[in-house]
Amino acid sequence: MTYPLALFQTNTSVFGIDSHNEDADDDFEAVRLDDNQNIIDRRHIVVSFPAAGFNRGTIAKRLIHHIARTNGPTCDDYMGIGAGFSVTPFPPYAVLIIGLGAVSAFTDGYASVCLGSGRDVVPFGALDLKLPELKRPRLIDVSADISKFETLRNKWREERGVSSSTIDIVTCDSYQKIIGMGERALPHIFLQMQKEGDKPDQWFWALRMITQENPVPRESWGKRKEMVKYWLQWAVLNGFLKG
Amino acid sequence: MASSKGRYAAVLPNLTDGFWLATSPVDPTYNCIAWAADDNENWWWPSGCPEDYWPPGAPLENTVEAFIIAYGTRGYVPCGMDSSYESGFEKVALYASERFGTLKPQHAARQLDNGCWTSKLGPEEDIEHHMLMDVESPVYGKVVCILKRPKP
Repeated sequence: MTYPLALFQTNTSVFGIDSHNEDADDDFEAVRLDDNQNIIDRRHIVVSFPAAGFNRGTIAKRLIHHIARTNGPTCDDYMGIGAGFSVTPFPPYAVLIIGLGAVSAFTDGYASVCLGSGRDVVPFGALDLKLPELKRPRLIDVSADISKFETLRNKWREERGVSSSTIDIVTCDSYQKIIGMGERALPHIFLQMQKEGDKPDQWFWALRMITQENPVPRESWGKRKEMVKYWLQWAVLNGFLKG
Repeated sequence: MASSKGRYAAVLPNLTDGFWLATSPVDPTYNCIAWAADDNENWWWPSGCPEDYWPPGAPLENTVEAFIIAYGTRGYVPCGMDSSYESGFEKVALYASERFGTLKPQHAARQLDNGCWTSKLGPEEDIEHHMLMDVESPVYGKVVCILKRPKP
């Protein structure tokens, strides 16, 4: 068996939907997008890491996120049986998973290289390659600014009243002030979205304005119950929510 | 389901307690425009934003004409201002208010089999009300058009 190297260096926006069962294998649907957010590839992936010593869910998510970022079709039935360790859940961050058919090295927040079985991948042999610059997960103290956020949230709900106009709703003073909080608002918004479950409020506009990103694939636009899943996944992958 | 008495008095002054009833929980995932078209999965608005749905083919404009075309994609056609109940037809009333000299759609209500109307109040709840004027207000404006289609 060979262990080719897949080097992840694209900036394509990609994410996975995770069943996230800590006690079992993780099933994912990985989706790859083009620059216009159209789905160009969709794969079912099974990752099995029956190893102790680290948060399997977090690791698996990062792995899948990273696999999905590659252009290489290496993701079908990606199985690993191995051992691992993590130094800390956030940078500095190092995890090594050695397994049957899969060896992955995680550094610098997101996985930077992955050794694994697959097709059309660069042959193994260059772990010391210069790593591409990737986003780093970040930690923001979620207790900070919580009363400010909650006050603005409540005031916004009064200000918008019974309006159906998206523009009127997001241009309320208090909503604009939430956007003005910048990244410090993000943990609160994501926790709020988690609480709201399948009845998410209009947080999407603020998230797009603050992050300058949109992880929602085109086919899910307008379907807010679906959109919230993509944003919460994004929050985990970017370190704003725990996995 | 009990009505939230007085809850909307400030924004919908015509909504008299005893003449309307809340018929759903609060759900910010769909709005009145969607609800009038029998859709409780999407938030309809011609914003072009990822979080909003707008029927393909309808102009992305906040105009009465664009909303008529949007409802047209669901089989509705304008029928003047005739809000009377017609057996075999489903009717939608479009509300608009004047802003900067132009009529801007703000709300829509759908007629029920009992002749009453159902309105989704923005991100809040669905309500059943007796008359169209019950939700005429500064925020929603007045009814500017009635559309109808054969009952599905």
